[in-house]
Amino acid sequence: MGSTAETVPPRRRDRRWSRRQLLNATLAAPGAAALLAQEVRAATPPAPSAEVAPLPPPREDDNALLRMQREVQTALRKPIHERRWAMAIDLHRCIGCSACTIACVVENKLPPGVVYRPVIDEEIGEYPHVSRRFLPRPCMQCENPPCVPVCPVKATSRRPDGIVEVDYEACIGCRYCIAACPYGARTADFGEFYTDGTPARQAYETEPSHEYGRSWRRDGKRSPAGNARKCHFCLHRLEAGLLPACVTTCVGYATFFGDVSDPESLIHELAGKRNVVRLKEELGTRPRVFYLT
Amino acid sequence: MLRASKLLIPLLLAAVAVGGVGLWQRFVFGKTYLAFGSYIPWGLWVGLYVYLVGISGGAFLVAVLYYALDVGSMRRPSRYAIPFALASLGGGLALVQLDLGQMGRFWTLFTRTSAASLLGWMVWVYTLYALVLAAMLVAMALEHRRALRWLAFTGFVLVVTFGGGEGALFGVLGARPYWSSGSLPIRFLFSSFLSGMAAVTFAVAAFRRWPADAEHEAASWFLRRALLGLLALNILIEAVEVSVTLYTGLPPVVEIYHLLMFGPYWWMFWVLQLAVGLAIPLALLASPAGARPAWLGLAGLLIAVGYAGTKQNLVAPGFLVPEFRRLPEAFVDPRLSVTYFPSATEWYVAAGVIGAAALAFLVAIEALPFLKNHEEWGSERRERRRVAA
Repeated sequence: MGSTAETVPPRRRDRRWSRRQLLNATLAAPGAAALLAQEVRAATPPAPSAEVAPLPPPREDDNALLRMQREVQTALRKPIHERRWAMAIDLHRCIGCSACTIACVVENKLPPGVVYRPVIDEEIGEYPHVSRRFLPRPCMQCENPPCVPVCPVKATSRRPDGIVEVDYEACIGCRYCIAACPYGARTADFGEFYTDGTPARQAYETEPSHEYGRSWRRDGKRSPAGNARKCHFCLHRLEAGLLPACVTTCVGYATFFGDVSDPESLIHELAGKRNVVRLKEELGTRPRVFYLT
Repeated sequence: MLRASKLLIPLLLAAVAVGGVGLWQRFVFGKTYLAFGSYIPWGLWVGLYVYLVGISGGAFLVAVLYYALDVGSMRRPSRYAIPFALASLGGGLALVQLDLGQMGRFWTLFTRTSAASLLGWMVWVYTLYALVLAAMLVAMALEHRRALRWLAFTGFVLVVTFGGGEGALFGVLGARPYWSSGSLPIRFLFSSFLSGMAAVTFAVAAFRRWPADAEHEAASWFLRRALLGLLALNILIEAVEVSVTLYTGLPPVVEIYHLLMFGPYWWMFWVLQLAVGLAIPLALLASPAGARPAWLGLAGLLIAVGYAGTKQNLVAPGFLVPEFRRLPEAFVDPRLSVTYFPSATEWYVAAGVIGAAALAFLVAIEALPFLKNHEEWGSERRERRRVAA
């Protein structure tokens, strides 16, 4: 992580919401997001580059979540190669609740040993001056991803919108991409189930996930079992006009998402802050996930 | 049948049977019985794969010396070198095949090879090398010396390519400071030359069919000096790498070396890698005892075994220090751990594959007439031709 010097004044400036606004927004957001999602689902088929129906005009009291939701839908109207999805994580707002981790597990039906967005809990200092820092770590969706060229069968690639994807039906499970990732962002699916060793494998473990816009029902042998897996910014949700699951479930409004090529977007605004850092920038990976420190 | 073969074949059959149990577990239970995970994604099998493919290349060097460079004393060892190289290559590739998450898709390595991937290229180089080895066996049977010469040259180019390429597979991973080094391909190449030649030296000592005549003396003299030279070269390369890296003080790398030397598997470094793989063979080869074929063979065996440990010390430890210090605690699962010890299934399969490779070598030298009776093979064949004419 980069220096945290000068972080306090910008952070204070960035906190535009009062506690009451934040509370209102927190309570209102899931409902509003659900309404928006319903609206979008009704209006658009869950297909790549879906045509998204026009949304009601923005309001003064729209919170960040609503704003980002609109911006995602605006971005979807652009050709795929003109979108540049990015994520920002405000480390001062992250409380380490791991709601994003769990939401991701539920959204993508992740089996044991597979995690797309762990939250790293670091303890800093010594008693009596101790603090904790939480670092959510999704896939960085690097502009120069080390995991892509090493794949011997072209099973992983970078989409025109910047998302690094895995072709589950092509991946041979050599795990070279896992070794190549400097962020530990890829995990291998060993074909295990949480309820293995219990009287019965539970149905929730074989519910299909909809990663990459397809239905994947795990049986422990067929893909995605045996494959390398990673965060894909909930591509299947994005293409239906929805924000990634980790963004909508963040109780502290610590995760931001959008099309960084849109100068009017919140993510574009955040990307220009001087307290922005990217992890392991020295490796030249150019992550599309940045942190506000 | 040789006495050594008679002794070994039951043991190897037992190893193959144990491997059968492991294979059964692998195919029925998938990867659930394997101990590695996502933070240590490569374990015993990948370590043995790079080792076995490496000794295959080193064994081939013996054949190159005779067929391409006309080192006459390597005539007899070169007969063993080719089947040994083929068997160990097969063993290494079998292990890495079993390591794949989707084994049934291995053929896509040929049909959708990525030109940008070193691993993709390596698959083709291995395939060409296997074909060269098979062609050399045929050429040996036909005694086609000219073909053997060209095949030896071609094979040598492939050996250097994949010998260094294996090191490059690891060296290009900038995410792994323990491996990320331009010298890794050189380390791999010369360690494979050493371990492969050492393995052939042992095979010659243990499965010799010819008398201890002047030619055998000459072969022993050459192998002893070649091993000493390669051993010295490897010690130099490793010493330079370790000392420079440690002096640089890059924390993750220093931590890994510290774990290797003083961690739970310290014996892998001090006993297997240093004592068995380097110090004892060096003492044996440098002392007058090294001139005796039995001691020479023992030195070869020790180097070959020690380098299996060296390769294990190179593969899994590369993952010991996680990308972020507290990452393994961020989401707790046995697959998300930075500790690793191979599971019983991994040991069973490893024993079975190595046993099968050794058995294939023994069967080849016992059953193929141009290997078994190679002293008479040429004259017999010429006689048959004369009678036919």
